[in-house]
Amino acid sequence: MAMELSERSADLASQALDNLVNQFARPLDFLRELVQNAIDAGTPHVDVWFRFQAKAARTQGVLEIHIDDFGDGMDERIIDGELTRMFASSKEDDLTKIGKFGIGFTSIFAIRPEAVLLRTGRHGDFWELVFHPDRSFDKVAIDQAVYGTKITLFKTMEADEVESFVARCRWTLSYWLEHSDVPVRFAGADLAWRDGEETPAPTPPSADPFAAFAAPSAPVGDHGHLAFEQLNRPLALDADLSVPVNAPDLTGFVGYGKAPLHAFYNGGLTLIRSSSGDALGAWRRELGHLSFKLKGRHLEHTLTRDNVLHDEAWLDAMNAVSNAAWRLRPLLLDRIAGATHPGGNPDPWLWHLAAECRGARAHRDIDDFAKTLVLPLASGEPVAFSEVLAQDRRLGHVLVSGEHPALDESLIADGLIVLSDRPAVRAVLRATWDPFWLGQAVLRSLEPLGVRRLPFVRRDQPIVCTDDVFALPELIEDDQLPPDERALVEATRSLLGTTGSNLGVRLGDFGGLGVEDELALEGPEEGGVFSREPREGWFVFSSRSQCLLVNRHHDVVRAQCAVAHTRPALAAYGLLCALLTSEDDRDLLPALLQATSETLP
Amino acid sequence: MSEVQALLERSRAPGSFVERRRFTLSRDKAVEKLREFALRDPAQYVL
Repeated sequence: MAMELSERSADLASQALDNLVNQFARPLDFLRELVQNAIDAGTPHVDVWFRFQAKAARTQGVLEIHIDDFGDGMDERIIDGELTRMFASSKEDDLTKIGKFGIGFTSIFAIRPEAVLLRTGRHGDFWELVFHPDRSFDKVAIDQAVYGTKITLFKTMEADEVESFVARCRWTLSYWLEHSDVPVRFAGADLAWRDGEETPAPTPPSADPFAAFAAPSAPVGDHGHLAFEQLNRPLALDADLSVPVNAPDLTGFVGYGKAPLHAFYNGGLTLIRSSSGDALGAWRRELGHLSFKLKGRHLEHTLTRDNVLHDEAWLDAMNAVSNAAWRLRPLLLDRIAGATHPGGNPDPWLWHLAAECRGARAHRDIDDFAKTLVLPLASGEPVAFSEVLAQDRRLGHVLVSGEHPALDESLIADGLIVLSDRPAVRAVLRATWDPFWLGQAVLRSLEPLGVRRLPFVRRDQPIVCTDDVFALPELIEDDQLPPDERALVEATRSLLGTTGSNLGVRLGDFGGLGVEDELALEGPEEGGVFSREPREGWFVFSSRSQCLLVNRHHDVVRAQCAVAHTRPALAAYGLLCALLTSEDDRDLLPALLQATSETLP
Repeated sequence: MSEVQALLERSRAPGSFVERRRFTLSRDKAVEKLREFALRDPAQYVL
């Protein structure tokens, strides 16, 4: 019976070990686990190095992967009760330790090594363990003193695979230990090693094991023919703008980066480094656009390491990020103001603001920053966002620069706000409108009817190019006109005068303005900016008193000019018939026809 | 004899061989840690 229970227990352990080994989706993550164990053992630094011995006359050989630490080491009690007993780690209540699960060491089998050698010692006992592919192991007491724990994995591979394998190991260590509190030193493969040669000890027992702390930048040393570089570096955030995190038991930075980054660390070991927002839970919408790195000894990862544990420590961390984001926003507005001037480039900062509005829904606080935020005019000069909004309410749209700088300058000189037309400015304009404001209002009204969702309704900011609503045509003085055009203009004015209209008529050159197909535009008689309006029914003679600028190159004008020198009144009537398109204006046609007929012989 | 086999032979040479062993499992601790750390939100764990 006891034998049966023992066998069942062994089977269960074997299955558990299989499951644990198979859960390592990336086999090289064994490096993370072994270095983490080394850090928890109090080592002043961890050395990872390689050497490869090709078999004689063959391309295949054995790569040795060495992970050496100089920490506390292990005695027999720890070896039997923790290292080789799954889930029995005693570190779970010790905040100075990163590992808590007691399963990390099983990862040595993930790369399917031919053997794994572990040498360790503590309190004068020294042990050597050899792990086999069937996951059994031999335990041997040895006489040779061992300082810390030295692990070597033996992996058979082709010689031409070694370089890329070692490169992947380096990447893995750099990813998981990029901000390790403990120096992690790395040396590439020694391809020239031959069995029997003296092993180049990474750190002789007489060397200062704390020396790596003194020089945190790579490279850090050269032992034998191995040149070590230090992979970890101080916690820093690659961001255009960032602020430090101020919270108990947390250090880090929050900022605006080129792309979102959400990274959590414990003791410098990467818990998760993601840009997907999966680590943010319900904070994803508000903070997902930010970049941050947070290091905290209370932060934990899940058993499968696919996420950070969403516990109280994580909640504190997310609150800290949220608070830092509030401190970031005024700094961002300062950067926009500082870069908005002729020749300046506020675009990178405007893109961040657009993301801030879309993500953090900063547009809810638009009244707070509308006077602080500036946007670039077509001239590059700044204008307060509050003034842009005021003009928007007055005109019904926001004006942005077109393809004709002279037109933009004339409009600005007339007091209109013409923003520089660039994607970043448009992004801010669109992002500052709450895309859900109307939908939410409609939803509230429909709630009594049981309607809970509406997949539509969005108010988009009307952004209009100056070219689309204005033009700056060239007016031709009467004395510059050829006889036929001059005759047509004078006859048209005369005919209009018979109706009592005081609308002026002038000829202009519309070439190159994008309005070449327009027959006429309305604007000031002395010239300047003319407005472009809908093509049909766009002006009413009886209600306006400005000037009608007629396109001298339009087909209608050319046709009337052809007869203007012989029948100017008839040509004028023909032109006015083409211009009078509204119902009100067409009521004038009988009177105009009568006046025209009276001039005919 | 391969290098790895040689290593295995060598590893047994200097000291006294103790025993061939296998990994063991702490079942109580396993259940406790799976409950606490298996899911992103521990409150989602239902036995």
